Amino acid sequence: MFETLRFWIAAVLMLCGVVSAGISILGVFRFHFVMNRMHCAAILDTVSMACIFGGLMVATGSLSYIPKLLAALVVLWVGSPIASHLVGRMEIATDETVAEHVKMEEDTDGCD
Amino acid sequence: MMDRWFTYLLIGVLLAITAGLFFSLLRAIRGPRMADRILGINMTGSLTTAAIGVLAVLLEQSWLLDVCLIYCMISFLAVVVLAKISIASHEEQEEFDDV
Repeated sequence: MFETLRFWIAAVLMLCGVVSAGISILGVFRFHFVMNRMHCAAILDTVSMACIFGGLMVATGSLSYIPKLLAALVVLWVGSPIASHLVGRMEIATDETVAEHVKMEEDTDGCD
Repeated sequence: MMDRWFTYLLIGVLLAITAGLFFSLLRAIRGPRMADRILGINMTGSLTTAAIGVLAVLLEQSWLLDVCLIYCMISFLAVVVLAKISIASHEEQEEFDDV
């Protein structure tokens, strides 16, 4: 009984992770502006990874796996916003036509 | 009995991650902007991390999770370095154009 419940919880979590990863990848191909594509890519780094790693934690249920899986998830969650911020800065700095898509306040370079 | 179902589940997730890896690599190759390429690399890194995690559970090798942890750190570092290099080279090009 307990094993069956564990399997179904893990299956639902991993399925959620895979479906959200699919939506994220679809968005990366469908959107026309790079900032929107960046938003979609961030879904994969946060929601999908949380669901997949959560599913793995439930599937193993072992203390030799759970802390390491949690640590990897924390590193992904900490790194993803920083990476997105840097890519956004790079896009603002390198794209001359970015003002056509994004409204920016005057006297800033959009990075502050 | 349930072990077999867990194996099927993990193999299914691994196959889905492989398909995702293909498309994120495609994004990195196609671009068209540098930001798209870096996003593709970032997504590839995240999906590879997940694939290593799934493999660790599937093969019951907990040391693979150490590899997974190091891999996501290196992936993050790669994105940061690529973005910084891209900004620096663009600024350098602008200075060169001004002169």
